[in-house]
Amino acid sequence: MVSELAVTGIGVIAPTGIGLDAFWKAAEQGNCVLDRVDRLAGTGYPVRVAGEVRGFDPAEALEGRIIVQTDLFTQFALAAADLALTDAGLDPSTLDPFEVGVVTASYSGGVEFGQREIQALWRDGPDHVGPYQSIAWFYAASTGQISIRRGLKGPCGVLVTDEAGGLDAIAHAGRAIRRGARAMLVGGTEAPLSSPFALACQFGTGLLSASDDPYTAYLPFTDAAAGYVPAEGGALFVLEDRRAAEARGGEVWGVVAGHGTTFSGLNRFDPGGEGLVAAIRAALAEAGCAPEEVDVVFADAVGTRAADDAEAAAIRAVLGANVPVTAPKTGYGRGYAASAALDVAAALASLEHGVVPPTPNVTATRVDLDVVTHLARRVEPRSALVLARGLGGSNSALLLRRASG
Amino acid sequence: MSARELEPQELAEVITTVAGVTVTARSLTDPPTRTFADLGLDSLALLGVVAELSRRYGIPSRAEALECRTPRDLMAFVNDEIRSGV
Repeated sequence: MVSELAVTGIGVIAPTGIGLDAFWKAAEQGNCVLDRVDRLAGTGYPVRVAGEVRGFDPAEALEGRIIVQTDLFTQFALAAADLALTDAGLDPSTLDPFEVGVVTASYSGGVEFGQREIQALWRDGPDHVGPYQSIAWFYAASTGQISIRRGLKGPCGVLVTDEAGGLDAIAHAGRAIRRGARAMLVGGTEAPLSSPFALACQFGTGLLSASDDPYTAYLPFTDAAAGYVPAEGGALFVLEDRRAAEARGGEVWGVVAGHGTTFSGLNRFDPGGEGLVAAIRAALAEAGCAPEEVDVVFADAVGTRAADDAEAAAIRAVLGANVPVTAPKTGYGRGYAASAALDVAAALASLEHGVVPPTPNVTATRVDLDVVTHLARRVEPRSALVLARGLGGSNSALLLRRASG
Repeated sequence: MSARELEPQELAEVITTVAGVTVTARSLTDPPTRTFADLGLDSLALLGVVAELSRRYGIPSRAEALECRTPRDLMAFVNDEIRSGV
């Protein structure tokens, strides 16, 4: 019988910093690191501003043998997994390998790697496609590489539900723990900024901000909302049964108390917010949490009028207009599955530190919500709700609770 | 086809570039029984190495080349192919 699902390790690779400490400090201060990105200019698409991870050197984090066979999104995942395990103080080689598994989510996959190899195929012929194309560009690459690197033979999975995947993966890993897994590595990473192919997959949605001003490009919930700014990076977590974690002396960041997910139509964001309402209700029901017990909401914050309105309506419908709502991602971008994972990291740090980080660059909002702007707010939250929607029609909500009551 | 033969130095460079495993010419054959697996190359890595050698030298029997377990065997195999092609 599982006591509670405890997050015992957090590994963050974010545009605002590598490691939870740097990431949280930037979130708490409301730093904005969005910037004009040279790689984007080379893609030929009118997208200029993004959240780029600038402090990450694959050669520092990983062996050369691994680098040649992986896309950047997998390199982020491998590095974040190492950080999460170190943070958890857990060496998986001390556990039964069949009791430790991996679940990752990605929306973009290894598109840069794929584009390079497909160009070689088109230009020079099949003999010029490298063998690692067979493994590197698929969504499953990160889960597979982590499991190989760490010798993990427990339940493994891969989810592709756009941003919602970062939350759904955690729920999926939670089910594995309930079925007997001893520990799970779980999270989401993305590297969607480096190739025309990657941009083509995003630009066609019409949701990307075309602004070239980093400070006004991504302003969800405002009159100036003009889409979102893409980002790369991600986060991985170590998830364990709380009793087992504490028995080994592991420290608990927070508890995954409830998850809900719904599907409300292809190729559009949840019209009206009904799907998100149902997801929030399901997450609260699983957690046994009353609406008034939710102390802070980490919003999806798509940054278009319709999607923002739908999200605001969903939050008001279930939780009312007084719950503090924040979107730290306006400081570093919306990175699909990576973004939901980073929101979970921010929410756990928020519960731990008793502070709700602000929504960078957003000042006057036009929605009837208590959006935390300008400065972090000390509210000692005991529970945090993270929201994420996917363009494919998925809507997810994850309720996290503070480790100590 | 080239009459030039494959030397350990070139194979070491190909392995380093294609498989991402840094090796020296000497480490390939010292001891002579050293296998690709010993060097940290799996079957996909060897596939990439053989494909690159094939682009440089033309190796008609690539499937056989992939059965070589040691750098020493692979160099002998490739050089046989080169000579027979001259």
